[in-house]
Amino acid sequence: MNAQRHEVPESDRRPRNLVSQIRRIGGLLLIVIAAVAIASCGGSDDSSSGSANGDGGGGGNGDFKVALMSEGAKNDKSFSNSVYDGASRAAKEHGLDMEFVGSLVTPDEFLRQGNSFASSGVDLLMFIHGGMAVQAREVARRFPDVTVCVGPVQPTPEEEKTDPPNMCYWDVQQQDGSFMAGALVAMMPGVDHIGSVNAFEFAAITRQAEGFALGARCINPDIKFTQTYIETWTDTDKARAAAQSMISAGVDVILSATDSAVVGIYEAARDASKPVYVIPSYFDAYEQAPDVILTTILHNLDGAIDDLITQAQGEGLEDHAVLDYDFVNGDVGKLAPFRDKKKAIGAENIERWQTEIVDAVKSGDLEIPGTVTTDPQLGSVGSGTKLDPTEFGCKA
Amino acid sequence: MSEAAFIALVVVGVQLMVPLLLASLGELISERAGVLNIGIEGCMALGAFFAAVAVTSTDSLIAGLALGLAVGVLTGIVLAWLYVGLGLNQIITGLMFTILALGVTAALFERYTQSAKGTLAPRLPIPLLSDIPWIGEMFFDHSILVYGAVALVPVCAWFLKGTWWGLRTTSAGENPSALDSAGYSVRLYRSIAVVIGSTLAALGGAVLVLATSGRFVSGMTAGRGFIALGVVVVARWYPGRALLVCLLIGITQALQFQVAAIDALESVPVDVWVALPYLAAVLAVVIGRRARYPSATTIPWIGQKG
Amino acid sequence: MRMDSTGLASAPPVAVGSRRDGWWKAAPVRAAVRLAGALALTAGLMSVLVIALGANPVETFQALWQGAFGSPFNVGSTAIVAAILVLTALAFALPYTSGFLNVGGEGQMYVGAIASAGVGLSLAPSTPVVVALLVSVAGGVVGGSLWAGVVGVLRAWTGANEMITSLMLNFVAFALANYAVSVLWPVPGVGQQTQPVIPAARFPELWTNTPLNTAVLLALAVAAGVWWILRHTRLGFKMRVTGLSEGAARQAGVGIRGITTTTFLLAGGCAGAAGAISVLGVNGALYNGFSADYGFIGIAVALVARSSPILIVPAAVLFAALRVGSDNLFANAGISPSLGAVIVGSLVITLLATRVLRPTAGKG
Repeated sequence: MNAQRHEVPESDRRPRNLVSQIRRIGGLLLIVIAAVAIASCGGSDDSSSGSANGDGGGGGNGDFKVALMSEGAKNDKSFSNSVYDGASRAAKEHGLDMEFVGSLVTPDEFLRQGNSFASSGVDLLMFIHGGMAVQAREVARRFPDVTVCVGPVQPTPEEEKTDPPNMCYWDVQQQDGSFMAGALVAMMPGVDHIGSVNAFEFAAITRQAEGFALGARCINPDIKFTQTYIETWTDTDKARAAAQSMISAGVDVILSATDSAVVGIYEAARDASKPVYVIPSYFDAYEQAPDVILTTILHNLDGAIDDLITQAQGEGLEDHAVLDYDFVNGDVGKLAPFRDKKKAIGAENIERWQTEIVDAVKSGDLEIPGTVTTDPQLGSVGSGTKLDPTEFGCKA
Repeated sequence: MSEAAFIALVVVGVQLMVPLLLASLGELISERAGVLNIGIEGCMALGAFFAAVAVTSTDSLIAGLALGLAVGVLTGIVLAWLYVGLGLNQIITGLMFTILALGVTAALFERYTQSAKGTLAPRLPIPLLSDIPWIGEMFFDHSILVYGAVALVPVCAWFLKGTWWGLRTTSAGENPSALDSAGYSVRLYRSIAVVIGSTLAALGGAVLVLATSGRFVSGMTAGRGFIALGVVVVARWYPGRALLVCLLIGITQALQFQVAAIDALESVPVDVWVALPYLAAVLAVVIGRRARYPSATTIPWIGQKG
Repeated sequence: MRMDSTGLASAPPVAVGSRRDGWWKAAPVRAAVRLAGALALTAGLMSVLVIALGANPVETFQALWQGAFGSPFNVGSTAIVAAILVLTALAFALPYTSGFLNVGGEGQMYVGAIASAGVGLSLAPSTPVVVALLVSVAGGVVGGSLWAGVVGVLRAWTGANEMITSLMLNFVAFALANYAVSVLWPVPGVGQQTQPVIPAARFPELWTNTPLNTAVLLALAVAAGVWWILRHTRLGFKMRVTGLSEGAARQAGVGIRGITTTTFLLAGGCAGAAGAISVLGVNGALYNGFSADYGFIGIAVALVARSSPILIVPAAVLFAALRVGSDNLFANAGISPSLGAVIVGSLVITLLATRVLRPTAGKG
């Protein structure tokens, strides 16, 4: 555009007479009504469900209000979906008043929403975003009567000392599930190259991918591992492109450590000229792509949230509570039923996996590393291929 | 880089290019007529969502495209009324429209879950041409959506240069008073251009969905509409050049994913690859000569009635 | 009564709208009535929209108002967001005055945020507050300035279209921010934010227990400074002349290249300051995705305010109130954030259509 200013005289811009004014207003009205017609299908009822006051279920605790705030949507068939399911279950069972607001983006949005909820009288406020500890702490400080939880994240030692007592943390050791999935995949005939499509480079995501690699190397130390960070939770096209590139490099099974963008990976797997399988996370997505989904790493996120809320409305959480869920204590990392993929995996392999891996983890013979307990940390890129599997109980 | 990897790079690049190409073609026509439509990202999102709705209910590719197209036309009519009829400030209105549209699609997404379907647009290798070594696999072994989008490029070029309608549209942006003096309605030509622009953008969104299992995910347009604004300028408002620019951007984006397989480049931070397409666009703008928007862009036409 | 040549008496001319001829016809009164009518129309249309969304309009407006101004915390939040918007609006308005379109405010803000975070977390914890704050803010300003400077230099020396270069550089800035968060200064075990800056580098609180801090003073000072530059300095004069006609400016001896570069450097400095406020005044660290499109909303603010640094302040408050207020919609009116965005977008478009808001004409 040229840099010429082009001031149009004021009088030329106003509607000159009543008729055109009416036309203008009528047009506006029409547009609004049209938009409204569309949006009304999507409107109402976003303040949700779960308020089953006196709806049967043990000890109708109709006064207990819980609010959850998340980055994703409650029906995104992934992380936030699981959280929502768990919260709904808990709310229905105990007759709680539950609100879920999704699609929050920036830290100050989380802070203001949290403040808004806390000042309107909720009893338990949950930040479903591991990076919001600072924001959660501020709300906890301002509202000492509200239990404020943030996760999935662990507190640092200094934080534990300075946090207000009404603050709580929760975490799910996602690498437990991806480790076991990796081990299973490595047993499959013909699989010698696995891959992972990851969202962002931070600990909660990285540990999933690296755990996958480590678990696979537990069975086959020479297995090849390729991973890409696509820097998005939702861009399905990028996920597809990343998966396609991996597949053309020879990857046979792809783990999804991203969110709803996983849909793109299904497409890439279908398009491949040889059989390629996808392993999504959090939500049993089998119907989404029954032809290419091998299984889902369930993480039992809904169970963890359910447990947390149940505890909070029951006897209440202790001061500075840290609720750490893993496979042993919380079934985190259960895999979804294999359904028609049993043949592809191999029945003897499934049995071997059950005894050598799953039972070993449960009994403690196999110790999957925590996020920050090893050197290099599982939360750092590349650790899955650097750590020595035999250190954790894998047979050499 | 191995031969297979290079071929895969171009294949992925071509696929990534398509939604951006459609949006760019649309914006190109709109801007030629003198309307800067920053709401293009919103149009893409709406087209994507409704294409997904259609596909979920009917399992048909055609239905998805049709509904996406219809939504694009409707949106275009609304935008034309706002930009041309009411003469509202194009930049603010466009920005607000995008915010509005993204909000609507996010809200509807929360409300309606959809399930992914199977491949709706399977690969259609063009006989003979797809057997050419290298080039065949790279360019002639894609889905019909890709072929269709590329086919639209000469169509747009012919429309703009070879039809009276197209020439008048260009005049509406370049020299509206001349058009008006010749007895044509500047507003009409601008409105039509906006509708075409919005429709193509919505189609771009629809393709985005249809090429990935037919499911809409909130936020999936990921700024493509804004990138299209840049593409149009780099391409100097020529459809053919827009194709080349989009291909370039698609391939540099694909590079980000190919490098995972190249060990030598492992230590390069992923963010470098993410930034590369945009740096390439900047370079293209710098190397090219001065780009000038059509003279009357964003200036609402206030003339005699009509 | 005067007699004219025909002998007929004619009343002396009476000004329309004076006390004698119907005060309600006076221009300011007419304007006020028109404004009231437009606002009423807007309220009516928005109510229809809200009702169809399944909510109660009264509750909704109340929730919006409460969310923006209903408590000290909320007022503080609104003020800080307004401060950020003032600065990003200036980042667009300054080049606009010179005839350039800088849509890179978002990216320039990001780079400013990266720079101020980098400086702020590298200082020794014992650094005195004044020094720490000054140095960190300066870092942010310089960062944003340099980022915009690239656009300016490219435009000045190669003629590269600044709208495109600034737009593209936004995305490069996002990638840089991601790099800073994931690789440069990560927090092990957490992710999505850098290490926090030292406490001394934070803006001091103005109103305890609220987000309101001295950052608002910075924003106001910058706005005043920009106003003064534009109105009372030779530089400002040259900028305005360049905006009116580059050809005429050149003939008058204005060094176009210098003005171009300077304009962008100043604009980037404003955006960089906005980034510094985000890091040092709001979050305490650089977060991935910390900006709710503040750079782009700033463009809308600037246009609504017709690029006047004075009008930018109330315009920024308006947009900030909408943004902050809509975070209160869910808890108190049952409207999800996505629908909140629908309402805000519709509201601004309706205000434009009913001419309550009158942005710069023509040039758009």
